[in-house]
Amino acid sequence: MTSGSDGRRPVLTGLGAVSCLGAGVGPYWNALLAGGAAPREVDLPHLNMRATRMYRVPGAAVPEHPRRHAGVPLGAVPRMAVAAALEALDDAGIAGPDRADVAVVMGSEMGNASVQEERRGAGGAGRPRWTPLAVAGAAVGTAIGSRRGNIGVGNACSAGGYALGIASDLIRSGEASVVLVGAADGVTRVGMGGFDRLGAADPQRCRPFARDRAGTMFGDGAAMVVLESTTHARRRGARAYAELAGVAWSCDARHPTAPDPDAAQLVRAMREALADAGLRPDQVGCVLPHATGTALNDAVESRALRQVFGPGTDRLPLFALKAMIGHTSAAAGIFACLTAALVVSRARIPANAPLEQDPDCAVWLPLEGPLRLERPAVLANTCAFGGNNSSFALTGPGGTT
Amino acid sequence: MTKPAPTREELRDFFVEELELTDELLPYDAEFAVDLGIDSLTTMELVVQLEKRYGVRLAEAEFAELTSVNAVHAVLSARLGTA
Amino acid sequence: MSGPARMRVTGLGMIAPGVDRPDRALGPRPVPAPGWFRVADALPGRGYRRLPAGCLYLLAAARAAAIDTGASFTGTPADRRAAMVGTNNAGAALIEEFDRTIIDLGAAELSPAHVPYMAMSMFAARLAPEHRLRGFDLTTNSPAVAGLDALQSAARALAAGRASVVLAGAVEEPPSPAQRSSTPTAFAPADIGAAILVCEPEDAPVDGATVHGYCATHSAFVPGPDHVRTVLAALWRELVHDGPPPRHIDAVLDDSAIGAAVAAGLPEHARGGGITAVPAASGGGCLTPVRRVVGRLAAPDGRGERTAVVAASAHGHLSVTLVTPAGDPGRRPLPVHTPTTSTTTKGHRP
Repeated sequence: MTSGSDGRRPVLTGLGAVSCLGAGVGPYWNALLAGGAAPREVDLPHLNMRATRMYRVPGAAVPEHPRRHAGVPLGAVPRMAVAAALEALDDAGIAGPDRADVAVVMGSEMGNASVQEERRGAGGAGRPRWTPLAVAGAAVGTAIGSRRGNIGVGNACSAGGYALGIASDLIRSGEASVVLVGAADGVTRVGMGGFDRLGAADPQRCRPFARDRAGTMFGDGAAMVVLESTTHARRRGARAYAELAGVAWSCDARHPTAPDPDAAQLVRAMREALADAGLRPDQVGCVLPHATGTALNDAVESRALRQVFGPGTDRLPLFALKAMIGHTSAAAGIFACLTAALVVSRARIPANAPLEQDPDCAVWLPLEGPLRLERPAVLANTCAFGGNNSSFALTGPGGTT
Repeated sequence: MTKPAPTREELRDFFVEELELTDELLPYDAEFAVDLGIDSLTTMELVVQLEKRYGVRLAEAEFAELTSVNAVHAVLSARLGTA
Repeated sequence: MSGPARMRVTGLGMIAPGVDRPDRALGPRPVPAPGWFRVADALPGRGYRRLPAGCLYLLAAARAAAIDTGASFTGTPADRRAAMVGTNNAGAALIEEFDRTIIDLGAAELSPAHVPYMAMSMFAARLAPEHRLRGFDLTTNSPAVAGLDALQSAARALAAGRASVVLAGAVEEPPSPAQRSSTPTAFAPADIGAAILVCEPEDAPVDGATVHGYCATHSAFVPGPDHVRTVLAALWRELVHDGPPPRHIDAVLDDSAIGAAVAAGLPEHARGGGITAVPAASGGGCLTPVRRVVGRLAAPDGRGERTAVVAASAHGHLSVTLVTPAGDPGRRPLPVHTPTTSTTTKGHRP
């Protein structure tokens, strides 16, 4: 990159999270260092399936407000998104009238579907009223008083990575100076049952790269980050956690649910994210893989990492986040981004959850820690149904690469 | 409840119809995924239909074996007994 | 703050009840007659039988649009091809059916082939293997504006060098039967069908394809009806900052407080031109605004003038697409979009 575009490099200046580790980014990080959460039985009625656990947000961490928006009852997903958004803006120090200039990019797949499922599950008590699934973005926009664009993004389990790409492009193109970008997804019978039907749901826990992994396990939650141009952050004296230095997208264009065994497109996404960030593979000190605990996906991603990082893969620490908070679906990419920002800014990598590693997954998962981040960049992946991949790289703010 | 096992011809007719193929395009040993590009979910969907039609329930491990008309015939015959 | 990126449109595809061609896209939205969509005609070949209806509409619209563009689409390498599609209700009936199945019979009875469509983004995802789209395949989903947002995000992604050609548009199925029957307001006519535009960067060399025109989309948010007037004024200023104002406005609005406030605020931006009020599809849906864009680009003489297509949701989303048909007599040469350094780098990626 030349100096002319330096002012438009996007930096992360605020973080917010509601997860199974509780409300707030502080408790989130401490709990990651302490080993994460354990899954619990989901208390939905009619959960007629084998795998019935999730990494659940504690009841006390789910905000009660806002209850409605424009006549639509809001379920836990949009309410958590609003709480995480307010935390992220407070963290960034953006308050009052300045919030009107904040654009919103919101990833969500099942979104407000829980509201419909509650009515349906209650039998004749009330038929589900129509609600748009993707109402969290508007709830956030209203709560913060935004008057800038408000873009809703799907793309299932890679929604977060795509939301980050759009937010990054908004800032690099000069279309926006500050973007609140995040994602949220929740607990739905259909989401759980669908994965159960495909044999992709682990009834015990989420155990990426483990020999006995048996599918993924969902977690609910919302994660939001404030992304702003370097110039804007500098002008208002904001401190940055990290720079979102590169984002790339690709698509397998192959199977509805299974990854391409050659991982050609995931490899391309990683390489282009690094190229976009101006990074060499040996400058990456940690990877947050997509790593869902699904048999084929983890093996394919391991091979893809080896293609990108070569023999250096043996010395490259991976942090398998989903073993600690579950697979937060649309929000997975934002949780990865938020975690990567903390890893970069604190230069520490939490230890992985204990596991007996699958020899088919030849990657390094440090079990002791936290480790120091020895190299400047962190790379993260998201993959999804439809073969949608996204990869993004974070570095220290101010071009510390 | 249990019905007699289908013949290979009956099975091929079923797959030809469901996959919109012709007999020539579906030899008994053609692999659904490799030779015909049929994705695993479609195969699974069709096997579910066969389960209902013949009143059997296959284990998930058996699904991976159902790669061709011959393979499906072998699995169903073993389960239902050859006619 | 720089204005929104513009893109060039070289192909159009449109499928909806009573509409099988782009130049009929401005027509009415009738209640669909049974059998209005014939798979065998729209999608010859095999492998379509088990797909949900919305997926078929989208594949049919994309196929028509790709054929309309011709060699400059098929000649683009797979890594540089992409899709960006808006939807609000695709799969709504399926999700309801899945939940009923789980409640009544258990998850083991779900159809394996249909299960992935519980994720709304799987509808657009089906375009990728069909047209070998390896750049990206992204779904936008904001109420009412997701279709115009898809056009906006496509233009931005093209400017950023993420692809060289994007199939952009919208697909809709009606809301689920229970949602329709439980809502006091009339749901028919709902948005049904799909519209696709083949989009390229405005300044890329024209590779033999017919240029239908140009699109630029801008969006904003109104955190309540009181804010509509000021937000609309700022959005309009940024959208037309470097070109002539639209000669016509197509306003796709519902009867919400936001919709009414937008309708009241538009005349001051019409500059004496006409405003066509198009009732938004009840039960949500983001296809109607994209139909207006397609119709304006495809319309024979007269109706093909420079038009602003406006869509707003009851929840606060506001998006406007400025459509400049190639034959618009008032069209000045559009200024070349200046790419930022990072986008230049990406644009030159192999």
